[in-house]
Amino acid sequence: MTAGSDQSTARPGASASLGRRLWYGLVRWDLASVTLALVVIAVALMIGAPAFHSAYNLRALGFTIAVTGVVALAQVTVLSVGQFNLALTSIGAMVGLLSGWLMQVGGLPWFPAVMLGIAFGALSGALQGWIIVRSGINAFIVSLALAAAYFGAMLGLSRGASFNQLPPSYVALGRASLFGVPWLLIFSVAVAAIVSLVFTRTVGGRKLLATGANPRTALMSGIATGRVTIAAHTLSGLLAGIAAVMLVARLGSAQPSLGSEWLLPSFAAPVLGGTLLTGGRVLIVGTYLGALLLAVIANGLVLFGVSAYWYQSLLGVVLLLALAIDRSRQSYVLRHQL
Amino acid sequence: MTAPRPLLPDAMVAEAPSRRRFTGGPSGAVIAVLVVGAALSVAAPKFLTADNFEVLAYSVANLAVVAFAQMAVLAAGGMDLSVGAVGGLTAVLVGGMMEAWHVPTPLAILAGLALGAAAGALNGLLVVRTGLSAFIVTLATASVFTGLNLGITSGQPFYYLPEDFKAIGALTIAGVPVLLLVMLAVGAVLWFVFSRVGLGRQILSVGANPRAAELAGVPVERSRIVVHALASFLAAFAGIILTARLGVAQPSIGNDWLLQSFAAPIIGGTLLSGGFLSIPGVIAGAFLLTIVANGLIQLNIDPYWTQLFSGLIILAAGGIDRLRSLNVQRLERAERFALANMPAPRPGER
Repeated sequence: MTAGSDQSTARPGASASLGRRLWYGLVRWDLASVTLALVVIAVALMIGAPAFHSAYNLRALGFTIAVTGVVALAQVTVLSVGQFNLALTSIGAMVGLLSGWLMQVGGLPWFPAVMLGIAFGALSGALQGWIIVRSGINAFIVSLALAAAYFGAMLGLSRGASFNQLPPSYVALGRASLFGVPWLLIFSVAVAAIVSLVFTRTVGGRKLLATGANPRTALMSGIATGRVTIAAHTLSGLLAGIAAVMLVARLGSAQPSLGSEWLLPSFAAPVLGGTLLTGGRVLIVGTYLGALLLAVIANGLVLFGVSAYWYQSLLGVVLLLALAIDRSRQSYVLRHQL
Repeated sequence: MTAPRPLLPDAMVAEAPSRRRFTGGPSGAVIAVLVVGAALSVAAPKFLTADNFEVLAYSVANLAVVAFAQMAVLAAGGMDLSVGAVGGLTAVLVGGMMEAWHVPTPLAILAGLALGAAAGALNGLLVVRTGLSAFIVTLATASVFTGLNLGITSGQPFYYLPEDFKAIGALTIAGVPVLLLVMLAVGAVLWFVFSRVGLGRQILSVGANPRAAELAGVPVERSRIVVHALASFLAAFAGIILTARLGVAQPSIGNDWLLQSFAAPIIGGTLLSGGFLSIPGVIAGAFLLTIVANGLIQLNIDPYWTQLFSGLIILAAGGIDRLRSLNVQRLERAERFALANMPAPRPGER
């Protein structure tokens, strides 16, 4: 991991007891907090609410993670360059409604309709990136303004309509499973694998991370940081579009409210999984573990009959706790020079 | 307070007027209000009526207080995404105290304001102690506050508020709604704090350059906590006056505040990068946003499009902010250049 990790004799953990060494290993592990929280909550739920590990409930969890995971990936791609995409909720709503309209009113088969929708999402992301880079306006404000502008344009054009006469083959895909595993989850993991490959194995992915880690250094090293930033936003719009068409297939209808609840989970899942808000570091597996943790918490509240209204509060508390724990974990590692 | 208050260096105090010159202050927003207002009074005959003035006055009063909250945090170089959540939570808490527990109106209002300030102090403490960005902290606490609001009310409003509370919202002096005067009074107090009181100047210096402020002896962390508490106090204030105006404590209060809370200060010349604010500018910005939304209705444009216009206005305001901060950067470069090229003092000269 770190440059000096092979000098094991220099580390204080080397000569310590097994328990100590386990502890040091755990503290150094990036995914420690999210995995521990996940295990503790899952075990508690298995004991407290046996319905938790019923096949039906696990499938429901699978559907939830499938969509939340891709939404989180849409945020991860912009987080990698150290920016935020607040408009991904509106892009999701636009893409969902556009695909729904193309299928129901335009009479298009589902595949081209979905593809056009996703392409439109990528275009909306590209426009956002282009405005940020070319105008130099504060990226947060551009994203906030476009979130409203996109949503307003969508509402103005659709007049609040929703589409629920979608092709049966498309809706069936949203409910189908392979050996009990939802197709949507398999598709979602495949998307995650591709995104992970992009970040770890391609030059473009490394350029994204370099730009996020230090834009000035990246620029000095010959990376066209402006173009890289536009690419990050395009990819984000594309992934938000994919999440939207997945959710439309799952719900069987395209509504303007699609994506309205995405914003907090889109930040919480990556951050819980160790992705840095400041850019330069993404963890795709961690992002999915974060999405799983959020889904398990929501699921647990339902199983224990707690009002869904409290979920939002708990989500905020979990996010803050995770961030605080991770901060102290990092400073512990630094202090003890692990 | 036995220890002497750390004084700001003269340079930092003297900086304010030059910044104002280079950022343009509120003048652009005031001109925009006059132009749009003139255009609307020609295009929409009902725009310049007393009824419409009352509608405008109530919206401006509420929006300006929300925008003051965001302005204060922006001036300190931060941001607060929880203004709407705090406003909504305070509204239902005050409403609930009065309806369910029959708490007297003044006591309920004071308790609501205190809870608001406490929520803000929590925001500030989390930002300072964890070192996390204000963005993520307030995003998370906004979710906590909204969840508390919905958990307490189950999404149901408090309808039966005392008459004396509802009367505040309807009160007028010589045809001018009292709430508008209250907003102006709040603005005057804030103007005094940020231009004449050490604490306000310290907050601005933290926004302009936190490192320089720290070296000059400004308690940076304390200023950040105070400014977050102030912002949530103002958000709570806005939630309470909106409840008084509506006569119902709705859990949905504050849902749509976020965008406008940023738009009004930016239109009015408050720098996103911190260190400069303009209270008349915020009021002018709130006025502009209100008459544009009002004008769309007067011109019979589908309300579905309103959000698109808000988005485009804030984007334009962001563009103007960008030009302003380029001006400030140029000013600072010129100052550095002048300092570097100053002739060395001769012996005997002070």
